[in-house]
Order: sequence, then structure tokens, then C-alpha cells
Amino acid sequence: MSDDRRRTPPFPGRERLVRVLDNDSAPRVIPFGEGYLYERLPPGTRVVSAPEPLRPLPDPGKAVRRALTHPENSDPLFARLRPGMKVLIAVDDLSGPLPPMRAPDARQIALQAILETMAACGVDDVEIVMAIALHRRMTDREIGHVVGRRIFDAYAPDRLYNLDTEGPDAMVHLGDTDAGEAVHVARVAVEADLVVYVSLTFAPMSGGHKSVTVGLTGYEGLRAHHRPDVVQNSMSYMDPPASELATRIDRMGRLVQQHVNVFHVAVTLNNRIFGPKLGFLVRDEDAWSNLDLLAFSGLRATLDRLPRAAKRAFFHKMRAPYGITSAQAGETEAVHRKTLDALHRQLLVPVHGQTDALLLGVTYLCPYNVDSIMNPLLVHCTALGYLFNLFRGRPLVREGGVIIVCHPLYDEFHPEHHAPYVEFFHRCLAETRDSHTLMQRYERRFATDPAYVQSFRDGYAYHGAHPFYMWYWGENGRQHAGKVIVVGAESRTAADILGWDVARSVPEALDMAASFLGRTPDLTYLKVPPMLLADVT
Amino acid sequence: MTESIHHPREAAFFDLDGTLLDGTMIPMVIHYAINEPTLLHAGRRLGGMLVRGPKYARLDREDRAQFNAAFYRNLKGLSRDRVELLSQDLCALLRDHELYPGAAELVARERDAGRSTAMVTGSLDIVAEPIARHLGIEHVGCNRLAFDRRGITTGELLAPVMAGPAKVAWMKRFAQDEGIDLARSRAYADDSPDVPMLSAVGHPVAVNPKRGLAETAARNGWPTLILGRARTKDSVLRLTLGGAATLARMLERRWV
Repeated sequence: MSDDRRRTPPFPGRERLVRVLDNDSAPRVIPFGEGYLYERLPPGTRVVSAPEPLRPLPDPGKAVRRALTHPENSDPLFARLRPGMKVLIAVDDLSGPLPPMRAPDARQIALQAILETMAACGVDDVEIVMAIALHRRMTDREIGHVVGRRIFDAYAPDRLYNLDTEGPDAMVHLGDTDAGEAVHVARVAVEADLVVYVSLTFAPMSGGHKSVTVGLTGYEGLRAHHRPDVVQNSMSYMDPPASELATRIDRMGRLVQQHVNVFHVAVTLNNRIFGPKLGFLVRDEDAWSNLDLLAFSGLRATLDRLPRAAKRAFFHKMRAPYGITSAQAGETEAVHRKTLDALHRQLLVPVHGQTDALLLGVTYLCPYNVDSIMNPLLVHCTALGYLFNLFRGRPLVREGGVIIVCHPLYDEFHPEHHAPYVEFFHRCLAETRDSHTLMQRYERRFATDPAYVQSFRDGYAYHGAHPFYMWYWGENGRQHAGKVIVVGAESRTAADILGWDVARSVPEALDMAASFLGRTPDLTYLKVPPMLLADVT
Repeated sequence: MTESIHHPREAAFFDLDGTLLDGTMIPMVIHYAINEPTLLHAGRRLGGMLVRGPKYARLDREDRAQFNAAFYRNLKGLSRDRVELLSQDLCALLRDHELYPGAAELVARERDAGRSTAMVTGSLDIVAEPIARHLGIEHVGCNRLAFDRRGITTGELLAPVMAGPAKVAWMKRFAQDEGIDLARSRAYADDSPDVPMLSAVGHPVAVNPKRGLAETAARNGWPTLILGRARTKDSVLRLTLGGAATLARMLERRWV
């Protein structure tokens, strides 16, 4: 067992977060795209729920300032600053947290403290870059929300901008690791005297070396680890010691640090995604009051009557009242150890034993459709990628088991954000679902396609290679599950392309799972959001 | 004996107005009108265009070729040298202010990918050809004004009037002459009348699409590319503002 795992403290009382339903149990809320199902699950079903939100820090600004002056394994930030030096501050982009954080965003709080320190030390050659790698560019409004209006007005557009990984000469090849991985990092970072990376880490796969090595690189830099074989060998990629993805990124990150002077600042959040009005959605349904039930019925009735565009607008406007639970700064690996501890304190739920069938509800949102559409490729990535990987130890579902995904699975794509997804889904994926074939046959063509490159650089499209990653991200889930059944799919074509069976209801899906497995399956419902990490023994 | 295998080449076809260039032909024609020798002539030409506005709007909806033919009649009576002189000014203006920021880069990427590049547009040769040269586009299919024996524009376009299906005919002829495989080629356009042009190739791309084309693109799974700055919805207001901006610039250059 790794050092990381030994360090994780026990969390007494968390066993109660795994509930076994009986005949008297209330129906369960299951996220279903831009709405919810309310299903009575069979007695004996295990429901794994997230821990309560941790108590937030009373004064996060003070906590960040303290972290800057008392960093991990590093001199304080002020001691690493010299007047006249060139500083690049890189900031995590809009792919997290989900839903976005109510203002002020944690990154704004961290940035304010960092910029105050810079000003006090006479450092004024400062640029702020949104570390988007191959994600879509953030709009001015989105950047303004993350960094705060005052910083935005003071720095944008000349000194606050989206990283352009496809610009001419934008990347520098720093060399290859001992294992042969080519390391490319953005020139703006390499040419800076100091890079301060502000990461808002909400999942154990993020943060650490991934921040600079992935956030500040482009297509060539991602090719070493954004691959199906790497994902296949990461069980799970939410558990860094067991993740080939993390191993490669760490190796590359150490090479980066030989060339780039990095000071890392990381903040973590609790999992308070709803305010008091919608708080019942994350509570145990058996503990609902009549008022909660009434509120839920009202919400469902309203959502049922609204057109999908209106539901999307409603949900995408939601901002979560997270609290900041930790702030640490300094050397990347030391910071990341503390960050992972904080994340584990919030996320870990002990679960004993695997299950035959795993029930998952997929919401309207994932890291790649903020203010956008949850297209079928993203549903796949969320279910077989992120949700399947929310474990450490062993997967929640046994090998060859059934994964039941609840989502309306409509064949809709955002025409601009997900422009390359459409061709990938309907042309490439319809031809083969084999990740290796897709990678060899099509990935580079998409990555260099002039229309896709231009949409990425000048518009707000994800990079041409991004849909491939969305497919690779589900590689270990796809290989592990014996069958995937989607409940409520509106597009049978989309389900066929994904290779999923279709059921009209959860009971029908359970019948199909029983017929596939040859017996009535044990069922576990992973109730996410809010996020959790099942520690499966 | 070695056998030579002929591999068909690929091409990238670009529409101009609204695709590489932020605007339509309307401000361009206004440019010629406003630069009449006297205010009276300019007023008469602009007034005529305004009076015929509803007719143009109807023709634009119904048949782009007829719209092109009708609208360019506003240039009737101009001498060849005057048209050419004014075109030089107009091209400089368009090149410096109206090209989308990513347009040149997009063309360059297509060229670097080994594709032949061709502009297929309803614009006039006097505008399209210099802009194509500026962007490094090798071939141009566009409209041409007819001149009489004295070198005065008749207001008519030489056949075929380049729009809709005529663009496809030009592309097919070009493909045949150059050994281009249209199924592996690309086309970039912004509006519904260009659906035939987009449908003629294997990789169509809707650029800054207006509503009708946006729907067609979504239905067919064509990629949508937004070039450059955020665009307002295509509307009378936008066209008016575009026209007014051009007018203002012209006035500034001429009388201030």
C-alpha cells in the first residue's frame, strides 16, 4: 500500500453513508440530464452517498496569505520575488468546480493575495493566463467570474488571456523523460522567471504536476498520457498511486521543474453544491420532510413542463455556495500531498465489496459543457469515465458487471463548442469503437484540421483532439463492464453508436441486467452529485 | 516499368462575403455610389438603391443569383477606369478592416495541409481577386461586370451569375481541370444560398452561419466555425450599421 493511502486518516461514521434499502425506504432521486427521476429501488440496493460538506475556513483570504508566507518545502513567495522579474500566474480554467462557484471564486481570493504580495515586492511585470490546454477558450464574462471584476479590468486583455496552445511557436519542447515521454510546455511559462500556478482542485486526478504539465501544454504535450492504453492502466485515475496517468504526468512534471520555476498555490472546496432551497436534493430521501417532498414535486413538475433550452438555462445559471476547506502553497509535490489529504477528508466513503450492477445518474453538467450541451459523447465520458472512476482500491462494479446509466441521451451537440465532436461521433465512432484504431486513424487529422484549429483559436470550440480524449477517458470503464444499459435514451442511434443497450425505465434495465448476468443482480446506486470517492475493499 | 498512380488532390473552397470578410456586398456597392463625382449624383444613386430596398430584400430571400444581378445594376454608367480606381481603395479598406482575424490563418493552414485553395464568391472580380491574392488563394470564381464598347458598365453581370448552383458548376469544372476529389475537399460558407456549395464537398464547414445555415449545419452534423470576434445576429440593424460605418468612413476619406 502506498504512502499516500497510509496517510489518509480514518473517517469514523462514514459507513452510514452506504445505506441498504428495505421495503419501507423512500424512492431515490436520480439525476437525469436536465431533470430528475424519482425511483423506488429494489430492497437490498446499496445507496452510496457523499459525506456532509466539511466546515469551511472562516477567513480563506487569510488562509491563502498564510500559505504564501508559510509554504510547503519552499521559501515564502515574497522571498522568491525580485523587482523587475517576469512572473506568469496560471489559473485553472472553467472545467471546475462543477457547478461553478458563487462569487467570489476561490481562484479570485488566491489571486488577490498573490497580486498583493507581488505589488508589495515591486514586481509589476505580471501576466495572468487561463490554463486551458485544449479546452475551449473562456469568454470575458467567464474569466471575469473566475478572477473577479477588479482583476479583470486591471489586466485584461493584454495581461490576462486564454493560453493559445496552437499559436505559432507557442510551445517549447523541454526534452524527453527517461521513459521517452516528450515534454512540451507553453513558451510564456518557460520564458517567465517564475510561474505561480493557482489550482482549484476538486478531484484527486487534478492538481499537482498535472496543473503545469497538462494545463500549460498543447496537443504534442498531451500525447504521452492522453491515450487509451494509459487510461486502461489507471484503476482508477482518481487514485494517483494506482494511476498510470498520474505516474506519467508526475515523471513529466519533474522534468518541467528542471526548466520552469514553479510556485504552486492550491485551494480545495467542500461539496456544498446547493443552497438551502435545493439542499433536499442531496439529503437522504428517507429523512425528507413533507416540505422537501413538496418542493421536489414542484421542481419536477416545473422541469417536466419546460422546454429543454429553458431547463438548461436554469441549471447553467446555478452557482454553488462552496466553502474553501484548505489553502496550501509552495513546492508542487508537497502542496499536492496536502491537497489530496483535504480532498480525501471531503470525498472518501468506505464501501465493502463490489456490486453486480452499478446505477449512475448523469446530470446536465460535466467539465466540458459549462454553458453548453451535454452531448452523447460527454454522457459516455461522464458515466464510464468520471463516475466509474470514483473509486480507489477496486471498482464499485465487479468485472463483467452491468453499468446502468440514467440520462435522456439526445443526439444534440453545441454547434460551436463541440464542433469536432459531431464528426467524431457520427463519422469516426460510427465506424469503429476501438480506441487504438481511432487514435491511429483519425486523431492527428482532427488535431491538425484547419477548421478545427481555427475554431479553437479564434472561436470557442474544444480542440480537434478533444473528442478523442472523451472516448479514451471511458476506456477502463468500457473494458471493465460487461454491459452498459442506458435508461430513457431519446436517441437510439446515439446509444447504438456508443454500444449501449436501451431501457425505458430502471426496472426494465434491472430485468435486462438480470437476464445478462443470469441471476438477480446486487445493485448499488452511486448517488452523485455531490462528488465522493468510494474506498472499496 | 514503374506504374504511376494518380492520387486525386484535395481543395478548400471559400466563400468571401460573411465567410472571410465581415460584411456583404451592400457596403461595397455603397462605396462606388458615394464616390460619385458630385453629391447630386451620389444622392441619386443612393436614393435609387433605397427605393429598391424592398425588392432587393425579396430577391435575396428568393434567389441569390437574381439579387446579385439586380443589385449590381446600381453600378451602371461607371467607367472602367473609375471602377478600377475605386476598387483599389475599397480593397485596401476591406483588407485592413473587414477581414476576419483568423481568415488569413485559416487559408494558410489549408494551403499548408497541401490543399489547393479557391475562392468561390458572388462578389465582383475587382474586389475578390485582390483579396484572394492578399490571402494567398490561388484560384477565384467570381462575378464580372459587363462593359460596353466605350468602357462603361452596363450594370449587367457576365454569365453565369455566380451564386448557389452556379458555384457548384464552377467547383465541378475546377475539380475536373485540376484533378481534385470533391469528396475529400472542404468548403467554407456562411449563408443558406451556399448550401449547394457546401453539399458538393465531403467536408463542409459553416462559418459564422446565419440562422438558416446554422440549422442546416446542425441537422447534417457540419462543423460550425466562428471566426474572429463575437458576432451579433444577422439583422437589418447589423446591415444598416455596417452600411453606415462604411459610409462614415467614405465621407471621412473624401470630405474631411
